[in-house]
Parts: sequence; C-alpha cells; structure tokens
Amino acid sequence: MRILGVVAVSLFVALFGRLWYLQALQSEQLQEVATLNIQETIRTQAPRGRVLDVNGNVLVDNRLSTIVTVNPEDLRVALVDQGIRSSDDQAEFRREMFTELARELSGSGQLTKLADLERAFNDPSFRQFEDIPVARDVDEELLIFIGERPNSFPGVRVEQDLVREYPYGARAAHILGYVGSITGAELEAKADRWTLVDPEDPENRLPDPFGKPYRSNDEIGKEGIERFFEDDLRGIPGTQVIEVDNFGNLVEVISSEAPQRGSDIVLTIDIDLQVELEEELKRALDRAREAVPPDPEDPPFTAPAGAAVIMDPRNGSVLAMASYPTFDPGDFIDGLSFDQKAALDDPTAHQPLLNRAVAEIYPAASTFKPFTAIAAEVYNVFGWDFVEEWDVPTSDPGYWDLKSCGLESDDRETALALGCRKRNAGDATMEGVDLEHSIAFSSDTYYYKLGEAFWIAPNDEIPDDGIQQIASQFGLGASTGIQLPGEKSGLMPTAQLKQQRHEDNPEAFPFGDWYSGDNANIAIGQGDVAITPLQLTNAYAALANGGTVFSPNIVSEIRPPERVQLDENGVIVRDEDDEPIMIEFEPIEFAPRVVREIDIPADIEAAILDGLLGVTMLEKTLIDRPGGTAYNAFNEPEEGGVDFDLINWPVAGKTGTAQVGNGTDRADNAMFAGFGPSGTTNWGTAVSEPEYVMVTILEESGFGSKSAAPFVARMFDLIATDEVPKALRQEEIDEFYGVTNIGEIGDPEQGPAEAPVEGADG
Amino acid sequence: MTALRAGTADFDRKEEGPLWIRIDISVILLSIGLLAMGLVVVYSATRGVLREGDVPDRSFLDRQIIFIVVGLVAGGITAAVDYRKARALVPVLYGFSVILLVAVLLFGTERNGARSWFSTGFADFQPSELAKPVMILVLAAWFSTVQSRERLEFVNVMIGLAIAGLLSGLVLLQPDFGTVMVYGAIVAGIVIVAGVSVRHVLIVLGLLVAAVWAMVTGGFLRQTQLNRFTAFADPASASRYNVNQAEIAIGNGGMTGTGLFEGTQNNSSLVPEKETDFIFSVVGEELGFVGGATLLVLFGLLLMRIWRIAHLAENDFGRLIAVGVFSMFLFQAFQSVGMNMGMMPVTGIPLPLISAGGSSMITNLICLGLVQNVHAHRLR
Repeated sequence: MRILGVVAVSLFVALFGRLWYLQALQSEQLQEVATLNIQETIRTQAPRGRVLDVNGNVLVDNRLSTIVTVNPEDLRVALVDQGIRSSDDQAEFRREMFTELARELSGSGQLTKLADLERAFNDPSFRQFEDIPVARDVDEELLIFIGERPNSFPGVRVEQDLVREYPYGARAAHILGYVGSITGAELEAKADRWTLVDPEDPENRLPDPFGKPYRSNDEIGKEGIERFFEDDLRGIPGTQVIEVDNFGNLVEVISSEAPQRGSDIVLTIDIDLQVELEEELKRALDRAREAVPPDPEDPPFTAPAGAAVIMDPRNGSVLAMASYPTFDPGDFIDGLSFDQKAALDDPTAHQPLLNRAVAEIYPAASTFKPFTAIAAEVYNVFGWDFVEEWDVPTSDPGYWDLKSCGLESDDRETALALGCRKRNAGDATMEGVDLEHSIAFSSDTYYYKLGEAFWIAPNDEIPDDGIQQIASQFGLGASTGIQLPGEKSGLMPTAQLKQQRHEDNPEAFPFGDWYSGDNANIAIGQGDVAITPLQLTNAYAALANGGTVFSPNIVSEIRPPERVQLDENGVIVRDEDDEPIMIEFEPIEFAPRVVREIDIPADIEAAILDGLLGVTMLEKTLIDRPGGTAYNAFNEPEEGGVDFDLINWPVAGKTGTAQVGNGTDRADNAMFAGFGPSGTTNWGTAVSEPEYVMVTILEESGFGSKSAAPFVARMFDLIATDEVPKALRQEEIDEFYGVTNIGEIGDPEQGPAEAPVEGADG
Repeated sequence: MTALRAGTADFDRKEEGPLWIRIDISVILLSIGLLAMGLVVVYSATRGVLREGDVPDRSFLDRQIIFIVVGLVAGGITAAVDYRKARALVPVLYGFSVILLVAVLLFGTERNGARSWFSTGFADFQPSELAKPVMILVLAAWFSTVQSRERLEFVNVMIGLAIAGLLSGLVLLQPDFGTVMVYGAIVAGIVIVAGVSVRHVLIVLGLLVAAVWAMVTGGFLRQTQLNRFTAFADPASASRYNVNQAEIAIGNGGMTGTGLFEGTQNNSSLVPEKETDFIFSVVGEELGFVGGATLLVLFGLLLMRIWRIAHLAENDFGRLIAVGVFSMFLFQAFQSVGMNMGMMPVTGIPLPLISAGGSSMITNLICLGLVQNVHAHRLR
C-alpha cells in the first residue's frame, strides 16, 4: 500500500510543479497570448484613388456594388442550432440554399448556376470567420429577399462593396489597365511591407506602419496605370481592433483607424483625343482590310492589329495612345468569366491585353531614314568617296550594288544571285535625288549607299556603328521610361551585338558576322532594327523640337487625398463645429524629363524638315518625278485622304512600309510618323512650333502611304480644325441605346433604331 | 498480509453510536470544499457572457445542485448499509452493470462518436460511470477472497482481470477510452495492494501492450481517438488546440487569477468543454495559482483520508474498496488536471466532484459513501 502513497505523492508534486511553471514562470507570455486571443482585427477596404485625364475628366472611379456573402462559421453555427450536425447534412443544406439563391439571382437577371456559388464558396483564400463573396453586382432587391428569410439563408448577407468603375467604358483600356485579386506571387512580392518579428517564423509578422499591407484576396493593379501607380492608388485600409465575446459580439473597441483613400492620378491624356484616336485606328485597320494588294499573288492585308501615339513634342507629354485590338477593363471587376478569358486568350484575337504602343516591337523601316541622314552629316559621310554631298542631286537607278561585293559588271541576275543588289520598293527609279527628295520620295538606294559607306570607310574616319549611335541618341531601341508597365526596349543591332548573340545562342542566331548588307539594311530601318511605336513618336518629337529627347510622361501629377487629422490615440481631430480638420497635401507634379539635347547640324535639319514636308506637299503632277509619299493622304479626299489646310497647319511626316518575316507570307506593316504644325519658308507655309507628333503602325496593312498616312491626316485634320468631338461617357451612350431599345421592343413596327454617330460604336 | 493490518490499533473496539458519529468527518468537509468550488467554477463556465440586462444562465448550476443532492442521498444510502453484509449483493450489481452496458450499446444515444448514454428528459445517464463503484466492489470482493491464502496465484489474478475485462471490453465497444483508463487505474491499485508479484505484473503488462497494439493496428480505436491521444506528443496537431487554449487560460490566471467570471479565455469560450473535461482551466484562469493549488491540496488531503481509511479498514474487502476509490480519484484528478496543463493526453475524463455532469457526480459521491461505509464499519 505504501507504493500507492508514493505514487500519489509524486503525481501531486508533478501537478504542483507544472501549475507553478504555467502560472508563475510562463504567465507573462501566456497572458499576452490570451490578450491577442480575444482581439479581432477588422479591416475596412479603402477606396482606391481615381484616374483623371488632363482636363479633369474622371476615367476610373469607384462605385458601390451590392454583393452577396456567406460566412461559413455563421452558417455552421446556425445549422448546428437547427440540429443539422453532420457535415454531409450541412453540405446538403448548403446545396439547397445555393440552389434557391441561384434561382433568385437568375430571376433578377443575373444568370447564376449552383456550381458558380459552390466554387466561390470553396475559395481557399478565405478563412472560416470571413464573409466570402459568392455573387457580385446583384440586384439590390435581393437585400430585401434575403433579409426577410434569415432562416432559409443562415450566414448569408447582402452587403455593399467598392468596385472600380470606368465612366468611359473600354476607352483607354491599355493605359488604365485593370485590377484583380492579388496572387500568391504578388503577395509574396509585397512581403517587404511587413515587419518580421522573428526571421525564422514568416507567419509571425506585423504590418509595416508606413506601408499599405496586403492580404489574400485584396485588390491590386494588374496592368497599366493601375499597376504602375499601385502604391499611390491604393488606399490605406482602415483597421479596428476589437474585443469580442464568445458569440463574436463586440465587447470593446480597442483601437480604430479610419480607411484612407488612395491618391488620384492625373494623366496627360486628353480623353476626347484618345477616344477619337481609338476610333480612327479601328477605322484605319478596317479600311486597310478592304484594300486589295496590287499584286494578287501578294499576301492579303489582314490588318489584325495596330497602335498609334500622339505626343506633345514640346514637353514629351503623351496626349493619346491607342492599341488595337482592345479589351474592357470592366470585365475584370468581378473576375473574368470563362468565356471572357477564353476570348482574350484566343490566338486569333491577337492579344487584346497587349499595349502595342509600348510593349510590341516593330521594324522602323523608312521612318528611320532621317536619323541615318543626321548620322551621315555628323560623321562626314556625305562627300566621302562614292557618296555625294547631301545637296547634290543624283540619279537613282532603283538599286544599289554593294561595293564590297566588288562586282565587275552591272549584270542584274548575277548581283541578285550573290545578294549584292539592294533594291528600291517596286524597283522605282528616280532622278534628281538629293537628301530632301530622298525623304520625300523615299529612295532606299540613297540610304543603302550611306549605310555601306559607314561600314566600308576606314574606322578612324567614320565609325562603323555611326547610324546606330545617332539613332540610339534619339532613343530608338531603348526603353523610354514612360510611366507604364511592360515597356519593351526593342533592339538597335550592331556588329558586336550580332556576334554576341550568335555566340550566346548559335542555334537561334546561326550567323555571327556583320556584312555591308547588314549596314545597308540598318540605314533603311530594317534588318533587326526593332522599335516600339512610342520610341518612334519620341524620336520624331526630338526631330520636331530641334533635338530635345524627353522621357515621355503619361502622368502629370499625383494628387494625394485630403486626410482627416488624427491625434496620437488615432481619434479624429475636430474643430469647434465638430467638423473633422482635414490636412491637405501638395500634389506631386511630373515635370518634363529631358534625357539629352542632340546638336543636330542646322543645314541638315532644315533639309530633313523640307524633305518631311515634301512627303505631304510634293505634288506629283508638278514635277516629272514621283510625288511626296503622303501627298494623296493630305490632299486628295477621293484617294482616301483629307482636304488638309497644309499651308496654315503644315505637316512634316514620313511614311514607312516595313517588311515583316521573310516578306512573302505576310503583308507589310504600314507606318506613318509626322508632326505639325511645322513649316519652312521654302514651302511657302506658315512657320510655327510643332505641337503634335503622331506615329502609327498598322500591322500587315500594306503601304504606309495608303493606310497609315490617311489615318494620321484625319487625326491632324480634326486637331488643326479644332473639331475633336467631346468624348461620350458610357452612361450617355447607354442612355441613348436604352431609349431606342425600349422603342424597339415596345413597337416592332418602328424598325431598328439608329446608332449614334459619334463614339458609340466602340 | 500482516503488514496491511499494522495500523489497525483499535482492532478490538466495538462499534458504538449512530452512523454519522462513526464516519470520517474530514472526508465530508473536504468533499464539501471541493463541491462548493466546483459549483462556483461550473457556474462561471456556463453562466454566459453578461451585458447590462442579461440574465445569467443558471441551468447548469441548478442541475449540478440537483445532481449533488441526488448524489449525497445515494452516497448516504451507500454508507449506511454495512458493506460486509452487502457483500452477497456484489455479483448481482455486477450482473446488473453488464446488462446496462450491453443495453447502452444497443439502445444508447451516440454523442461525440461514442454510444455511452441513455437519454432521459432531464439528464443523460452514463452506465459506464455507475459501473465504476461496481468495478471497485467486485474486484475488492474477488481479491479479498483469493488473497486469504498465502500468496496471490497467477490464475486468480487472471480471473480478477477477466472480471474487470468484461466491463472494460463493453465500454471499449462504445468506444470510451477514457473510462476504460479509469477502470485500469482501479484494477492496478487493487491488484498492487492485493499483493500481486512483480513477475505477474510484468506478464500482465506484456499482455496489455499486446492488446493495445492489436487494438491500434486492428482499427479498433477510431481515428479521432488516436488523434486526441497522439496530440499529446505532436504539438502541431489539430487536437492540440484544446490543450493550448487550456494552458493559455491557466497561464493567464497567474498567481491570483483574473477573478471569478473575469477569465477572458473562459468568457470567449476558447477552451472547448470547459465545464466538464477542461474545468480546471477555468479554476486556473479565474482563481489563479492560489485557487489551483487550493484545489490540489483539497484533493491531496481527501486522498490522504481515504488512504487512512484503507489502512484502518476492518478487513481486506473494505481495505480494497478504499484502495479502489483512492486509485480512481487519484487517477482522475491527475489525468484531468494534467491534461489541462498539457502533461497528459486528451481523454474525456471529468475532474471528480468539480466537473459538471450528473452520472460522474453521483458516482463519485457513491464512491465516497463506500469509503465512509468502510470507515464506519472499521470495528468489529
């Protein structure tokens, strides 16, 4: 029996020891945990900042959306109270409840399936105590329906949530971008917003007091301005730390911080011009598609995609930027539906999400020639050996046989077979070609000659990569630094780069040597020269303003919101009238960002400007030579152009017709780069400082002169005559259609309603 | 066996006076202390969170008072009838228990995955609880019979184990592992005091290990029970939550406690089953080390008194009854308090005289009645 006594004593000693350990030694730590245990942190979503255009029109706003949420814990507790205990029975109840809910949602006009609700409910990113949104943007009537039937819909709530609103619908979609739920990777990337208490324990982290902490299922900018200015647009979520009792009821508010709106972003974009640019881009592609290639053997003009940019050359502000095909950022508000996602991913849709103005690269083609000419003057190529001075008219036989081939004869077949003959488009021959006219008629031969001279001249006289150096100074083949995500840098190929690429990856780049022909191709902007439409716009802006290269701005300022003043306890400070005292913040302005000033020799600058003006003004019938390549576009309405007042609003420009692929399976890209109002006394026009520069690239749309130039002409015409129409908001468009639709349904006799003319067919 | 009788100084004295004079008054006082403490913490655990105008929930308290009254009556009756004369009743009680345990398997109500209860309107009745005193009586009767010879033979040990095994087996079928562990403690205490040899202990232990191994691998135990059991060793397991929260509660109490009704862990219901299995967490949180230690001291003194009663018992039957009750209280108190503090695995064992629950309360008071009976009849 003594054994039992010994056992009993030792067990009691153990219990006392443990009790002492927990209540005396560990007590402090455990008391802390106990305090945290009864606290709950409630977060309230803060409105994102808005996005405005240069005139203060709101492009992205917030609106209230009615959502249906289900709280799994409330549902479970309610079911247990009703005596539904087993998980199978609970799932069965939930299925019936969701079926009823889906029926009600579908009845209110929002087609919803049981599976949709189940999928939303089972989203693993939510915790047991959180309200899970299962349906968004529902009819507000549902609030009454659910509210009247708490027993049929336990744990279900109808709440209001802030979502993005786009007053202009799908306009400027590529610039604005869109928002969506934060992904695991994005959450990880934002992890530096947390302070880790213990590096070994990543779960134990505190929100950075100066950051805007994220958690799963938060909204984050995915593309465009929404993404680039995420840190500014995002508001600071409000937090309320409360003590709760065992029913989850509020006992005491421990601390409370109100949500704070994010900053507004003001763009340099003019929405009226933007809408018109988008419309005209679409129309230009539609027209290009209708055109038939001159040779029926040639690939058709499929014109699937394109981009256009309008910039102010005086300060580098982007006024409008369009990319086609496009998308509707509103589709992302509730998450893409399966069909919407499939449509965006469809290869025949040509990547609607891609902002081709900054994120697609194209050959520069003939639009590159002015930069080759500047390089030739800077490095004294004019007058060297076989190259005439720039003001000496020469004869263009329609081809250039590369000197480095050392051909004895002028035999066409031999030269072609050896790859030594570089030809004009359509083998066109011209007389009296000096620099000015080489630009106006777009003589390739003139530039092949310059290109080869750069390569074969002794290096101590002329650098091999002189053309590339000058083009790079104009910002071609490098990122511009615009405030948009996903910008591509393009490529400015050189002998060293070609060799390097070959050595790094011989399979993809089988040739490492650089030949005269490569340099000749560079001179006309082909041969791997890859630029984005924005780069070309920016380079032409520098031509227009006399050599100032900007880093373009698409944002003019960030406007932080007024904020309530809080005292050290987090309580709002109020004045004697009990109104909160607001603190205003200075907006952050984006001044023009000059990258460099290029010293363009004055005589060559004037000759190039005259040549660019000749592109639009040189009438074929006046001289015994081809006219300016964009003459029709700016002068002949019956040829698809406009009747443009070039004397008072002169346009300097350059067409481009870029060969893509091997030049036989796909039609050429049509390009135009130009600026205005510009002019010289030589052309008898007004002389003024250019205010607009515009570039467009239309994929697989044929000749720049036929499809791209008329598009630019139409845009410049609207600008010059001050007839850019006011952009319509989506609600204005809907209002129009809403009225006509009722008429249609109500009175079938009336016939189909007419669509509004402007801005409604987007 | 002579050693067992060493403390019986008043061996030859005759019984005199009424029963209430002959019983051990300190057992009564200690029990009242524990019962009072139990009522207070059960009320605290079940009254609900009160705000202005709310009426506290007294239903658990009221039922607990009724259970105690019923238990005291049952215990009083148990104490009054001389156990030596009632010895013949033991096989009848045993048979009755077996029938009840079979019946509960057939007609009982399932709760928390175990078919252990008969549902009645007022309170659920748990036959395996009432089988505890029967277990004590039947084992005490058997071993006091067979140990009258010089040494305990192995076959008799095995027969005793078989008697206990039948009850345990039926309870395992429910399955209620916690109660079987209490049975095991009763068996162990009685067998040890009855004088089983070390060799026999080893053989029995070997058989037991084999049986447990067979149960675990044979799928006899349900996964939830295995989980609860292994949670003790695996701090990451989900079942560990209860223990963690109980430990936090006890730590939160500190030296003097948060004060009655003021425990945040208690009020937030963070500790599951806080009015029954995890009642000690409420004691620890609201009454602190002072309260927890007081409870342990009360239990310790009560056990000392029962130990003394075993010592003074008039015969081996009575002694083994007291030993059985002693073992049961010791094990349940240690297991329940230890589980609350993370020292023992999570099993559904109530803290005697404290936890809410009718069957357990009545059983414990009957057991104390048995002990008083032995004490009251310690003289020839």
